[in-house]
Amino acid sequence: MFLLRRVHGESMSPTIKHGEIILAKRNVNQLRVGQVVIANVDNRQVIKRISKIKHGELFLEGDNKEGSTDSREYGFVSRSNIYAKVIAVLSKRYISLLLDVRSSLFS
Amino acid sequence: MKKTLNFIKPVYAHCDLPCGVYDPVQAKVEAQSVLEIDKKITNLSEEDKERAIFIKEERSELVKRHLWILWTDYFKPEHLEKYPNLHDLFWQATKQAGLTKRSTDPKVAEKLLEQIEEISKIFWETKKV
Repeated sequence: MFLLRRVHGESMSPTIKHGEIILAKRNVNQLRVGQVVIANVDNRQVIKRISKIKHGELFLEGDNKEGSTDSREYGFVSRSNIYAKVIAVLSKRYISLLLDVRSSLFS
Repeated sequence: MKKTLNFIKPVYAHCDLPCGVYDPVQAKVEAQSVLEIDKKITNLSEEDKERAIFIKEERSELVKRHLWILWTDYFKPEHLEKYPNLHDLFWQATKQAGLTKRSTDPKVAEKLLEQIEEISKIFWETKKV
């Protein structure tokens, strides 16, 4: 299953900036270092990159090291906390198309 | 129809505000203000002394706030490994900021500025990495 999320914050900048829309996949069977994921941390969904995997647990960090609260503060995260894998950042063209489709569906 | 993406759920690329913008100069400016008030206060009228004390309390509190933000939001565990005195430095500096509220001796504020300078030096060293 695929899902869209709107990024709030700059901790993944410049890779993914505040306000950008990402496409993610719920299948989280194969996780590897370097992947960007959506994780459930402290009752909300955060977007970070997997920087280490140790004993099945994941160390998550933002690409914007100075402006990121991540595993350096809250430690390793269980695999079961990983909600989705990010597969793309949507371009403005696709976002515009998405809004047009939504508009025609709900008008 | 106004286009909006708010119908899409947010995911948090969390960081504490202001995002990636930290600078010990904020604490330094407030501490300098405290020092200048201490230098002037004995020559002020009683009415102005009252204002000066009130303003100084505000500035000292802002020093504490700026130091706390640096301490809790900017510095990371890897910085502590390289600068093991960091926690103690911040503790002493925030205590000194509290002391400046109780004292009009410029030496108290000068010591605070020295402590902030030491924190600032470490901060800029971490930025070079």
